[in-house]
Amino acid sequence: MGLDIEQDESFQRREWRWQHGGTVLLVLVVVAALAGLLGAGPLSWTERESADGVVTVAFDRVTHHESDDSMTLAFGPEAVSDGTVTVELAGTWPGGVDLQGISPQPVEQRAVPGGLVLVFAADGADRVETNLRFRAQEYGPLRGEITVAGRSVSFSQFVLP
Amino acid sequence: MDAVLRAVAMYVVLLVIFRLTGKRSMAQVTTFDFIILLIVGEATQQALLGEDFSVTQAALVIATLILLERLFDYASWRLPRFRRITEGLPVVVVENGRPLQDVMTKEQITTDDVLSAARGSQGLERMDQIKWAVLESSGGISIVPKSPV
Repeated sequence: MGLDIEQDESFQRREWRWQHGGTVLLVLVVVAALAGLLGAGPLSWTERESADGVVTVAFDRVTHHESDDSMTLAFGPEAVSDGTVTVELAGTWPGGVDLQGISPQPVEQRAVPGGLVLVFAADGADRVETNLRFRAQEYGPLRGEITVAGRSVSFSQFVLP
Repeated sequence: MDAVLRAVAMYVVLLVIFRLTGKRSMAQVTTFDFIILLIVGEATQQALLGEDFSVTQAALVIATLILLERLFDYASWRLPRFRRITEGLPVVVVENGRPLQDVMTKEQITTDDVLSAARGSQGLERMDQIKWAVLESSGGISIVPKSPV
């Protein structure tokens, strides 16, 4: 050839195929991220209800480690007793996240074996909604169970590193 | 432990992404290429340190990355196949003043890119003054001029 250079045509063709495939893969990853498959987004936001619809939890199916995220809990009037709503959070989720803020604030917050108990003031007229801001501290799937007035809702959130 | 795992993960992610998107992404030809590389640096930094801003964390991350570099260098030296996979091979794009169009299309470079490299490195004026132009694995284009007749 005249030029002292290492060349390998079949390797080069394979490399180009891999590069083409790799670019397609990256496009898919970015599109998936936009849709919310890799974190907060329209495909990730979902709701879970108790059997009678009194307790609802809305959250992101997928979240990122050490990233600000939020979860909304809603309770119907049936969940109110004595002017308060007592929420019990159990499972790996309460221990696996760092709760940054709850709004509206609960009147009482107690740590119990297996989780957390939050007591909110409510007047029983309408649906009560509360927003929990948190940051995931652990990796992988986190399961949680919310129990209010005998009704239970379970949810599962995946934490990506 | 965290520092080492983060450093390894980011090193692998960057290596894979840059290898899969082609040689030219490393070339830094335009100002924007340079800006992109700066931004990539910024994006990487947060993932490497996380919430731990201690000297220990920084030292561990740096040590892990340097060690990975040495490891890859050694493996590339010892195993040519490994070097091909991680670095790629140089590709001839111009032969005797004649641009190899199919190669240039695959690597997405234009004759302007080649001429710009020819001007910059050899002070050449035209394509027919180029004997060989090679797209190196670094993404840069090296030029061998025709010997003056």
